[in-house]
Formats: sequence, structure tokens, C-alpha cells
Amino acid sequence: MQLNSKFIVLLGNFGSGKSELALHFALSSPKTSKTVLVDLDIINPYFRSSDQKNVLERHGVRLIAPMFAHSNIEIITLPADVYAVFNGLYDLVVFDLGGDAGGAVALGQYHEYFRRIPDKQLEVYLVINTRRPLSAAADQIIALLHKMEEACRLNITGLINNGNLSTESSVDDLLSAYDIIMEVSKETSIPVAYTAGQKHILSAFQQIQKAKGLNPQYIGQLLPIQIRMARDWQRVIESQYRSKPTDPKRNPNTLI
Amino acid sequence: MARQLLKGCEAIAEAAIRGGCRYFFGYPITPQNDIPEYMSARLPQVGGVFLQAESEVAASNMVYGAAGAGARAMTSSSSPGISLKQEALSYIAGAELPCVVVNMMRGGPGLGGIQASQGDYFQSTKGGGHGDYHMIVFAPDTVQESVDIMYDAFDIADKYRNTVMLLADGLIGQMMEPVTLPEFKSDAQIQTAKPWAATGWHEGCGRPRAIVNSLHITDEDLEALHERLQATYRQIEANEVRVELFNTENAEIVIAAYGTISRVCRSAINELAKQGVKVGLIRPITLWPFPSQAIAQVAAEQSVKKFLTVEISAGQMVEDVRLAVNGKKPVEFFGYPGSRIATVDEIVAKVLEMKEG
Repeated sequence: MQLNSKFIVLLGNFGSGKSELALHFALSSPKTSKTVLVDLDIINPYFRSSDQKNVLERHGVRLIAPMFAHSNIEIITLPADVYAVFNGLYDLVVFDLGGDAGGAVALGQYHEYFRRIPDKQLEVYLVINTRRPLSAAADQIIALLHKMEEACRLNITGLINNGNLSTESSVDDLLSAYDIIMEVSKETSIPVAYTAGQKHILSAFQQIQKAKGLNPQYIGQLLPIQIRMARDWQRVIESQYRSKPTDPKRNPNTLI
Repeated sequence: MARQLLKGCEAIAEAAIRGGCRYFFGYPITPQNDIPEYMSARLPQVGGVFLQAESEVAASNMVYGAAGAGARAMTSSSSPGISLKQEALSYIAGAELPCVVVNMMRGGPGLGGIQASQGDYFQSTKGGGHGDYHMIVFAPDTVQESVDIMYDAFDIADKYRNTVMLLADGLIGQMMEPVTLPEFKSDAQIQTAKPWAATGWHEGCGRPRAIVNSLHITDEDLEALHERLQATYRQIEANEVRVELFNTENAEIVIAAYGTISRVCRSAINELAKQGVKVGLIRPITLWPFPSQAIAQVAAEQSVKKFLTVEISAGQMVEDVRLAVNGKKPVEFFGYPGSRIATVDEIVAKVLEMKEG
């Protein structure tokens, strides 16, 4: 059978934003296309792409996840139906993995299947958030990159700049990541595929890009994403009503 | 220091190290595994020791030993693992030693489940192990607050020669939030004098032999220990209570909640404010010593008609809230045992129902 499916694999360290981007790629596929999201996160018990099962299903995206994902037990087993994604039935297959090399290792056993995918149909992206520890400098990222390639037995084909500080994200996060990722790209000859962020942050980035003459080669395509992984109480942090913790003994003005 | 995006467990581990922790003894269990994992990589870089013990009991007894030798030592676990650690926690109290313990709570009883819960309130604040002792229990609601508490936890433990516990529902450990990490404490700051520590006695060392022990042979000895412990607890109650009051002035209903669920309550309070309903929040940051005085003061306010305690448990802290309110106002409870977290809408509905009733 001719294998026409397009495969996107997302690798990265903890908190780089793999799940957010996996959801983005899966949900921006046309509703008519056959899309599947494979959640192979064997690391995180909470905050994983499977949490968005209902959203995915409403969009007609099939979710393949470990049987007990988002449940009350933790069994590191991979679902048998992962093999089904290599049979050519899908237009788009997105793999979301756990963080670091420990997470990437889940992919290694499918190595034989990946080998049969024509080069042009397989993208393996390294998602980079330089606001995270252990991926804040080029040498750390390069070390991580090699460990991941070894663990998952695939070559990384593109880098994604996903510099962000969650609820406090600003264009500075992308800009400081730009410099670091440029260094990684030059050192490894791996192209920068995307620069991702919320819409308003990307437009600010675009303006600065023009003003400063940043090299588009190290920016790639701009990828506006909608935040889906946030939980409702995260809004609370930004709340202007937030008062400061009070030590009743030190502050006689409170109601103590 | 620049803002970083950190997972609660990582942030707690890094803050502990910056606060002077150099010894970590642990055993794996979800959802706290990121703490020992981080410690295993990070402690050797700062000249510290990470050791994965053969069991929780062993790990907590290693903390007992290290603390007895004057080291800044800690362990972490999640609910069922904390139950297993109780033997040493009681012995550490009996030997009057300082140490730090983190409990990233998951559902119980038994093995329960791996999702977040607040079912260990009783265990943490009312003893846990045997024998009439207290731990100082902190309950942060954000990753930044976890960092701030951990950073000072060893100082507080040393000051009172008492265990400090950071008690958080698993979500605090697993969520990622932007934080600012403090600078490393200097050696002068972390090397407090510990003349009681068993560091090797020799002739002319200038101190009596240090004996680390929790067995008190005579009744008088045991009574003397308890007198010292109780005096320490009164000091802790006087100095260490932490509480946050939010919108309690002129509030009609006051919610008491700690940890992650307090953030859900805060959203509900903002939602109710839009509807013109004045609701306040009392958020205990220390669960022991409990901010009873602060609650009693709020209960004495004319505007306050009712209290509501919201938890991710079947109703544990509500007992301490009732004791503090002391019958002045009705105290109701809302929450689910296990790992189901009440939503903003549910809390709004409960408050509206109380307002009608």
C-alpha cells in the first residue's frame, strides 16, 4: 500500500510546549482530513494532551493514548493501536511524547515503521522553550537534542522556537530564544521550522523582526497558537484582586 | 534573577537546595517523583548527597540520622509513602531534631489514586505518627509560594528543632508557573550552631556528649521532654502563623480554603462579586499552627453571616474552622473526597444557596 500519511513527531524537554503544539497541529487539520493524535507521554501523570479528549473528538481527531492516561493509576504501557497509524489510513499523524530523553524513548520501538516513511512525509521537531531550566543555553539544547535522537532513534528535522513564560509570556521570550536557537541551528545544521506563540505576541515579534532585520532563516514559519492546556485557576494569578499574603503579627492593619 | 517557567516539584527542590539542603533521602511515588529526580541530578553539583533508599521507612530514618548529625536533610513523598514514613517522623519529634518533609498529596485511603487530593490534612496537622507531637505545616497555593516557603523551611526547622512539612495537593507539584528563584543562602546563613548534634565527641571539644535518642527511660524524663515540646509549640503558635485574607472586609459569606482549591474559590469569589455578592476568603498558609485567631476575628465581624469551607477531601479542615468560629456563625462544607475538584460554578451555586437559606 502506498503510504501517503504525513507524520509530525514532537520532542522536547519538560514544559517546552509539546502538548500544546501537538493539539495545534491536530486541530488545525481540515475537519475532512483523517487525523490522529498519539499521546505517548509516559512521564507526566497530569497536564497531558489526553486531557483535551473531548475537544479532539469534537474536531473529528482520533486520540490514541495509554489505556490509563488521565486516570487514577499509572501503568507505563503503550497502546497496541499505535501500530495502526502506520497503515496509511490517516492523512495526518501527530505524535506527542513525554519530556526529555526519558519521554522520547517511547518512540524507539516503532523505529522499523518510521524507517518506511518517505523523508518528505516525516517531520521530527524539537520544541524549545528557553525559559525552562536545562534548555536555557545553546550547549544545553544541543546536548538534549543528541540524547533525544539517540533515545527515539529518529533524526530531528526542525527546531521550533516556543519561548514562553506561560501566563506571563511576552515577545521578549521569543526574542531571547531566537538568539539561542540560531546558535543551535548553526551548530547542528538543523533548520528552524517555526516560531510559535499567541497571536498578539507573534505580531509584536514580526514588527521587531522587521525593525531589527532578524534573519527569517532562523525564524521559520510563524505559528499562531491558541492556549488550550491552561486550567481555569491559572487566570487567577493575573487577577488584579490578588492581595498579598499577610503575616498577622507583623501587620496590625489587617483584621487580626 | 530572571523569571523561569518551573514545575512545582522542580521549583521546590531547587529552592530547598538554595535554602541549604544538602541531603535528600527518598523513595519513588507519583506525583512527587520529580523532586527526587531533580535532586538526584542537582545535589551532587552542589556537593550534596542524594540517596534512593530501599523503602520509605528507610529514607525517613536516614533523614533522622542526618538531622541528628546536624545536617540540613529532607525527604519527600506522596500520601501512601508519607504514611510509611511516620515511624521516623515520630522519632524525630521525640529526639527534638529539625528536618523538612514534602507531601504531594494524592487520593487515598490505601493506594487511592495518583490524582491530586487534600485527604492528608488530619494526618499532617494532628500528628500522623504516635505520641503527642506537632509538625509545622505549610500549604502553598502557587509554585512561587512553594519556593518562598521551601527557601526558609530549613531555617524554621533549625530554629525550633522541629519538622517542617510542606503539604500540597499533587497539582501544585505538577503545574508549571513562572517563578523567580532566590539566590543561594550563604554558608554563614545556613550553618547555625547545633551544639546538640552528634558530630563526634572528643576530649576538650568544649561540649557534652550529644546523644540522639527518642527513648526516655523514666517518667520524669519523658515529662520533661513534653514540657520542652509544649513550650516550643507555644512559641511556634506565637511566631509562625501565616494566613492570607482576601476581600474579607464587609463580606457576607467567608470561604476558608487552602492550596489549589483556594484558587478555584478565588475565581468563584470574583465571579460572585460581579453578581454583587460579597464573599471573602481566608486562606491558611500554615495549617499548623492554624490561624484560629484570624478566623475568630473575621467571625466577630457584623457583616459576616456564614462560613463555607471548601476542600478536596470529605471535610477535614472544616473541623478547625468550626473550632475557631466557636459557634458564632454557622460553618458549612463543600467538597469531594478523593480527587474530584469542585468547580467555580459549583462553588458559586453553593454560596448562592447559602445566601438564600
